[in-house]
Amino acid sequence: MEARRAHRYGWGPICVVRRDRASPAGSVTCSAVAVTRVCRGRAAVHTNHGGRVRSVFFDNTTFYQALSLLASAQIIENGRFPARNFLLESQLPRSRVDEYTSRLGLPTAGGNAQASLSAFSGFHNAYVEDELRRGVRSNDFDPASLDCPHTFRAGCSLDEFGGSDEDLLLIRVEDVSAIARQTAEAESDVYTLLEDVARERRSSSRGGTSKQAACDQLLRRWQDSIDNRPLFSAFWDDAKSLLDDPRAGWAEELRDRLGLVHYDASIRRPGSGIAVVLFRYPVKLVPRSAIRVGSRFMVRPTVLDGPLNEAFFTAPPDGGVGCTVDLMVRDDDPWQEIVHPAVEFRAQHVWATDTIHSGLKSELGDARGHHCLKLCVRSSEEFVESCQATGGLL
Amino acid sequence: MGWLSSFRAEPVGALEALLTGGYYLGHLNQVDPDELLLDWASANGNDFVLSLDQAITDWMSRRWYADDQDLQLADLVWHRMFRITASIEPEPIRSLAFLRSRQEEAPVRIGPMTRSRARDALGWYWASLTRQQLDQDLIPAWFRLCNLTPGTPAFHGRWGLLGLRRAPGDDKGAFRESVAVGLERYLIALVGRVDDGSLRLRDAERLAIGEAHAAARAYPFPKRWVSFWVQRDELPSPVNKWLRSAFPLPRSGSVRKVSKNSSILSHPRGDWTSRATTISQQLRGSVSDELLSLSATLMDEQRKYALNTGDSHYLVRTLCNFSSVLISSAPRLSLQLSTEAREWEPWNPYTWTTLITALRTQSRIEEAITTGYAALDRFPDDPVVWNGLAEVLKAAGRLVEAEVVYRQTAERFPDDVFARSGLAEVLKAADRLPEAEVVDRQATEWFPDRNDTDVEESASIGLPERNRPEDRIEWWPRRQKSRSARPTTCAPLFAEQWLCRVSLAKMPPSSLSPKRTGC
Repeated sequence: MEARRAHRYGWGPICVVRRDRASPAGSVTCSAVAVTRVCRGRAAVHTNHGGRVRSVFFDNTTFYQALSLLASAQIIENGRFPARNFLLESQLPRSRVDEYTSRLGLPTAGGNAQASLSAFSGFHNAYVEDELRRGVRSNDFDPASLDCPHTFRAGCSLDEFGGSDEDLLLIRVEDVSAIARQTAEAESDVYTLLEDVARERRSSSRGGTSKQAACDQLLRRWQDSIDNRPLFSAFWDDAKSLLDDPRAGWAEELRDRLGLVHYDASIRRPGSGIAVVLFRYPVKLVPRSAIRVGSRFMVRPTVLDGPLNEAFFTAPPDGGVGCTVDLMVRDDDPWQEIVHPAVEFRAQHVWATDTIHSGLKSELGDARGHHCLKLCVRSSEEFVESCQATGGLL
Repeated sequence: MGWLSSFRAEPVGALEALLTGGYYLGHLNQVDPDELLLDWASANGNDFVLSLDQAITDWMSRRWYADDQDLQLADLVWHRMFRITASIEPEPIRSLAFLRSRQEEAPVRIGPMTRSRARDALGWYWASLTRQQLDQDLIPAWFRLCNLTPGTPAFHGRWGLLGLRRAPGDDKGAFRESVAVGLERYLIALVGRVDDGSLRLRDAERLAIGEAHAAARAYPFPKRWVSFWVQRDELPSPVNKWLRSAFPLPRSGSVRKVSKNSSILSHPRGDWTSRATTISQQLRGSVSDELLSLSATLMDEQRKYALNTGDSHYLVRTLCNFSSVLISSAPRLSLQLSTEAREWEPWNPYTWTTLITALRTQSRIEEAITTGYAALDRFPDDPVVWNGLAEVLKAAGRLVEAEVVYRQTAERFPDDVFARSGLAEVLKAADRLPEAEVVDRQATEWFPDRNDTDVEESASIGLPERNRPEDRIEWWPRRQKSRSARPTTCAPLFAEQWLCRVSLAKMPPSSLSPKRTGC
């Protein structure tokens, strides 16, 4: 398994980065951290010097200025983070960047930061709806189709793969209430069915029970009526110890590990909580890439693959994977995430259910700062420079 | 949460900002805004839902007749709005009442917004209507969806079935035969779509099996289902296969095992056509209580059949037929029948032209004109509708408008004899005899076989055969650059604008189809 992991990660074993827990967030700068890493088997020492990775949006001066202003506007607090992610994004196909920046309403610098942030949000959301969510999840994947999300469309997709063993497992969390609403079923009925199927699934690999058949049809009806947005997923290997024998509360821990800040029950559904279902599915369920024959279409998530996300952190290019921001600010390896085309989940992929009752317990700024440090010790000095320049460590 | 404060201060503006994606939600950006609102509604209780209901109603009232400048964004926002009205608890009474009141306009206004199963504004509109059913009035609409009547997307059968499930009834959660009939109609309609090449078999199978399982889950009475299916008529073989996947039916052969003995009227009777013809002929002579009683009995049978099966073909033909026959001798009854016909089959232009004629005969000219323009909105490619409008304009003395409509009809449909004859009549009525003579001569030259009596009769009662519902596509494939549902009360104003455009700019025919501008 270690060999698989190393291959999947695109980097080798790493040393643990230690940060003084007592020091306030933002007091640690990258240049103060002695970093050692082993990159693809070769030792390397990175120090902070000069050069910086250039954002793919650099050439569009007005947009870049708008991003720069947003990235440093204290008044919008965490609203700065999405702009920083954009500034850190250094590797996207030119055609995709051009399509994005040529859309009507591209934000420009000026006005107050709050209004600029709203404009940026509106502009970006329109792009997401128009270019990432045109089709239906259960439709056949076709990168040549206009319904194919930009992330995977021919000529627009990243040519950047980590490669993976086809038998590796991926995980993804979905909101049970969304499934129930979409299928016009009662949420409690849907939850019970998923819970029963998950229990059956974990206790035995045999399929074909009546509940599984009903669950299959329910999932079909759901996936027949939702869009084909890119799916963000993590690896089972990372979460195995948490999910192998899932106990109540697993969903909250997983949320924190994966940086799923939007599952904030204290704001979204105080009292009842957010019921979730975990799907566990093999890499081979993911459609194959047309770019690299044989590979599954799993790529590093970028800023253009979903709505503006404060808990997303642009990963260094060429790794083939992204890394999730650990909301609990732990020191261990960040978990990896990839984005892949829509796949169709079936009853056999239902692994666990749970309800998230709690809100977020830590400051997102701290979590991002710590995450940034973790990335820096694994990345080129150019990336470190860029992080410093965009305030990523603050 | 900042948005909730904004909502309290300015509900409609905040709602629109959220659903258009223009509101920055911080760490909740990843959540679809409609899902977020539904979450908040479930958490914040009745007061919030009441405020939200009011805001949604206000927003819809403002936007229903307005131009959609950014079509993609408008489609998305309406889709989200209907998802909310379809799912929010408790029921948003005001919003649902508003939507119910727009049922007639909805297919035209909302239909083009449905882009796919995942962006299905009209579907969620229907889902919203399923929630507020105090009577049986919507049952024909649910069967229309199950039957996949022309213009209905194949994936809308699910909303028809949901509507039947939620319709009022005294079964108290027990097996509901109307749902079973609706499912049967839907599966048969899917086979029809496969046969005519408009749907792939595997897509039909997915939809069919999904809905069969949903019905089986909603009514978990396997024996009752089996006893229902074995009594039905022979079903197409794909339907048998689909049913077996959801119900414990025999593994091979037909699912039908015993002679039909259903408790409901589920088949057309063989004597309906002959009875209708006989009654119709007798009604042409004189109207008696006995004849009216016979006609009422026939229509009751057909109505019951239509309510049970969603197949309104027989009823609507009878209604229109009797309406035409009674137009002089019993104009009020004629109007009543034509109104019911249009309610059953709003996608059928024949029902509209019949209604227009009945209104005109009742001297309800303004209503007839309004209905005529509404029909033109729905069926711009139908010469009968154009001629019907021109005819009623002529009857109203609006000769200039009538002339314009007739001329446009003649240009758009050069093979249509009625437009040229009608134009000649209008010119005569306007004392423009030389021009009328020219047009009349042209008509005679181009249509040497025309019979003026036939022309007049056809114009006054509408044309039956070529307006069969199966020949119609209601709204589904059409999209326009700008659209809004023009209120029917604005039709005269619209007509004036249109007239100006025609006479001043002499636009080409293609540009003269109704341009939907706000009133």
